[in-house]
Parts: sequence; C-alpha cells; structure tokens
Amino acid sequence: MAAKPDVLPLHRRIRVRPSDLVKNGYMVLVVVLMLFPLYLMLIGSLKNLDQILDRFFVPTLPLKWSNYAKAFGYIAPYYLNTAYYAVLSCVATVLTSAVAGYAFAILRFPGRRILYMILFAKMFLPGVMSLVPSFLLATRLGILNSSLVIVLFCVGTSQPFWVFVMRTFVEQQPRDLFESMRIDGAGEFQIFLRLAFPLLRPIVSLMSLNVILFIWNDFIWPLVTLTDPAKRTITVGIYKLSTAAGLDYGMMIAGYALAALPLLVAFFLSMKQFMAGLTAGAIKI
Amino acid sequence: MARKIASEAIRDKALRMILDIDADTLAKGIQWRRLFGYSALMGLLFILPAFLSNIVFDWIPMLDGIAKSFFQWSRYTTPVFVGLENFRLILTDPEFHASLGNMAFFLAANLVLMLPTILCSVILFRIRGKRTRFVYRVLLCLQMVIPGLVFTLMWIFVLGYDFGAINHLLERLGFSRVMFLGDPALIKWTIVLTGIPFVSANSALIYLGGLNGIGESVWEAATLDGVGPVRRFTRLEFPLIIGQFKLNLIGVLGASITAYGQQLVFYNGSVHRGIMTPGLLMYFKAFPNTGAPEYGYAYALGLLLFVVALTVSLLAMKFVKSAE
Repeated sequence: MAAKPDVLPLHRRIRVRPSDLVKNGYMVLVVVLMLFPLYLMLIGSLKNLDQILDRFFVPTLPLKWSNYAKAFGYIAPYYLNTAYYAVLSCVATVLTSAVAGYAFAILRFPGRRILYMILFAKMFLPGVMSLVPSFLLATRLGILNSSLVIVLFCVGTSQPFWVFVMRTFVEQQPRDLFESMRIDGAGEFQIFLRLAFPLLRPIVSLMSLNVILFIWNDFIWPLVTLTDPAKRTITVGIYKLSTAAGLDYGMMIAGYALAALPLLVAFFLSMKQFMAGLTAGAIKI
Repeated sequence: MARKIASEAIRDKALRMILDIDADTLAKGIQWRRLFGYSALMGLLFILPAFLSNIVFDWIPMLDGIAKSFFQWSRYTTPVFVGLENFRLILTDPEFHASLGNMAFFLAANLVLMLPTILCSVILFRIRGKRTRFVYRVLLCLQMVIPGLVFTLMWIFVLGYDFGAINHLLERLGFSRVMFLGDPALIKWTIVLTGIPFVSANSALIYLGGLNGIGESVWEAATLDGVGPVRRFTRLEFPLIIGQFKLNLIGVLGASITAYGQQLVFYNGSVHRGIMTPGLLMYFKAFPNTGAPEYGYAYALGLLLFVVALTVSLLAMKFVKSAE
C-alpha cells in the first residue's frame, strides 16, 4: 500500500455541505449506539463492586486490573480449548473443501455433476431441524465432550458453501496452467499442492478467517455437546461465568472482555484481510 | 419408433450426466477402463472427504430428522413408531400455541427492523470520502468479530433488576424500577430493544456490495437530472438493491421463524411464557432443564419449522420481484 499524506493540500480539501453533516451525524449515532455495550464492558471490567453499583456509566479511578488477572485464571483453559478446536476445524475444513473444489472444477470423473448437486442443494435448506439429530448422532458415535464433535460437524456442514466458492475460483483460473503441468507428467496431487493450492491462497485466507470466527462465536452446539466443564469453549465459559463469579461483577465483565479481545486484536492487526474476509462471508447464501 | 428414439436420447443424456462424459465419447462406446482411469480415480479421491463428511454430518442428521419425526423415544428407550402422534401433540399443545404468538412478534419486529440497516447502508454509500467510508465500515464490522453472546450478556447485566445500572439510574432519577428481564409481558420488547441501533453489519455488507456494483454513470445521470435525496432512494437505490433485499429478507424470515439462541440466553423461569418460541420449545424438549427428553416431539417440531421456513423463503423468492 502506497503511503498517502494524512492531510490533503488546502485547495483540494472538500467543502463541507449541510447534507454531509446530517449523513455523518447519522453514522456516528449508529456507531456510538452499536459500540455502547462495548464501552460499558471496557470501563466496567476495571471497576470494583462499589464503582459498578454507583458510577457504572462513567470511567472511574482507581482501575482495578486484578479483575483481569482473576478472570484470566478462569477463562484461560477455555481460550486454549477454543483455539485448539478452531485451528483443527480450520485446517480440516480448508483442506477438504479446497481439494474437492479443485477436483470438481478441473478433473472429470463419473458422478461429478450429481455429487456436486447433492452438496450444493444443502446450501438452500434451513438448518433448524439438524440440531437434535446431530446431537443424537454425536452421542451414538461417542464423540461428545471431545474436539471431534466440533471439528467433524464443522467440516461436514461447511462443505456446500465453501466447495462452491473454491470451485468457482478454480474455474476462473486459466486451464492451460493445469494442463501444462499435467503434460509435464506431474501427478494430480502434485498439481493440486504445487499449483492449485498456492493459487487459492486468497480464498484460503478468507475461508480460514470465517471458519475461525464461526468456531469462536458459536454457542448452542458447544453448549449441548461439551457438557464437561474442562472441555468448554469460550462462549459457553462466559455464559456460565455469572454462576462462578457470584457478586464479583468486575471479574465477570473482565471475562466478557477477554472473550472479545483476541479477535479484536487480530482484527486491528490485519484489518484489510479481515474486511475482505467478512465481506466475502456476508455473501453466503 | 419416435418414442424409442426419445427414450434413448433421455438415456444418453442421463448416462452422460452420471458418467460425466461428452456426446462424442458416448457415441464411440463407453470405455470403462478409461472412465475410471487415473485422473478420474484421483478426482473421486479428492472429493471423498468433503462429500463423505457432508453426507454423514449434514445430510444424515437432516434425513434422520424427517424419518424419526414419526417415532417417540427418550434417552434410554428405543424409538417406537407412533405415526402422526407427535404432530397431534404439538398442534394441541397450549405451550406451542403461546410460542406461535411470540414467534409472530419477533418476526414482525425483525421485518420492520430491516429498514434501519437499509437506511444505514444507503447513507454510508452516499458519504463522500473513501477513507471516511472505510472507517465507518470497520466500526460496523466490529459487531461481526465480537461474539454476539458478549453483547447479550452485557445487556443482561445492565438491565438486571437489583444490580442493573439502568434500574439504578431510574431509581436515582425518581422512577420506579422496571423488570426488564423478569416480566413475561416485557421480555420480548427487551430482547428486541437490545438490538439497538438495529443495524446488522452482515446485511449492510450485502447491501453495500450491491450498491458498489452499480455503474457510476447511473449516479451521474441522476445528479444531472436533479434527482433529490429521497427520490434517489425510492427510484434508484432501493430498486437497484432489491436482489440484495430479497437475500436478506429470506435470511430474516428463516432466522425469525426458527429463532431460539438469543431467547435461550435471556431465558429464566419467570418469563417462560413471554419468551417461548417454537424453536426454543424444540430445544427444551430435547435438552430439558429437568426430566427426560422427548426426542420425538423435538424432531417433529424441528420438521415443522423446517417446512415452514423453507416454504416461506421459497414464497419470498417467488413473489418479491427482482430488478432484472
């Protein structure tokens, strides 16, 4: 990205019209209202009980940093669990859908179109009915309270959309690339690994982001399948936090803040990729 | 004779479809060895993990959800076929009737509250200055990065009766405390109002994608013709993003009909009747706080919700006219 001067030269500065004020005023209002709970969370996480009860809406001194230390002690195992589930889900989902999207786009094999249609059709069907049957399937497979119950169902249910995205992307690449490598005698797996997968990198990164966000923010599925407190994800952890915290509200709010923190930090560190990933994810059918 | 040719054509087409070959190859006769050659086998191998995982963890639960809706069983009992008994139980259950009213409330509220997002997207689109727009977009997207549960839990804490900051403030200003979370008549409004400012970042990104895809010439022509800000919205912007509106509408319809996640977080015993939606009823039948689960009831209710959500979204797709 080329560096741009922060301040435009005077003659190029845009004249402010009244309509600009209205539009910007509206947007500022929307953003302020939207982020208000976050503001309360940030200041509330540094208060002691008296400050929370008496002066909740304004920042207060002294800052009680020990809330974070206490909350972290409680949250840390859930951090590790969730990161572990998210990374496993991400790697497994990305690999399976990338390799399948490549095959559907480039290779020809019996059943290609029918198998693709079976995958594709699932994208348009509401998912509400699957919760209870999925839970009973997981019970029967004996994978409740293990990382598999998160990873396998994430892999399975993510395929329709992401295979579709991968296939579309591979189809947009020049076919000759793949042909020439094939003529050179490269095996299919080599072509995928050395040519297709590097080409797919932009899609892979935005898909990884979406899968990780999904696992990090998911609530109901881990709530019902990970009943062992030691296996909980971060969302389930903070949902149960109020019972563990009792009257220690500062620690409870610090726990909420800690749940939001890693993704916020990641967001501000790689804003461009995040925005691209979120925009692509939003177009999900 | 003609019929024979027609049936052969259909057979050929089906064969080409199933075997993934073109007409020439088929005319020369099927060579099975070549059909299942190296690259075809690799293709099948490549799609196997994706396909198999989708069948086992996505299709099978759904099909199981349909088939076992006609059975009754609990945690330690085997399923017994009961015909339509589950559906009869649901349709005569007063709890289900009450839940329909709550569902209708959330559906209506969510439909009306699609408007702020449209308004916000259009205004954001009209703001001059690429960097300013980017900053607003980034701030809106924060909503998608932070778990929704964090917002909800924060609201629950702020709205609490005894220790909630808002009630504290109300009392200090001379008002009486309000049972935002404990009054069954109020809880629906509480849940809806915690969505303030009612802008869904996800939907806004979809609208903005649509607006950004429209050629610059359209806006230039409108400016030259002296189209005012309101008419620009009703005549140009909204009609041009009707496709995106349809997409979001289908999302809102499906989500409102089947909703239960947020209700579950707000749930407590005292607001039971005011918060119960069909989706939440399904959840509690399968994962009850006390007592044995009634899986048959939950399956059948899931199937009902599935059918209704699918029908409504198909109808919306059909009857909302696109700009094309």
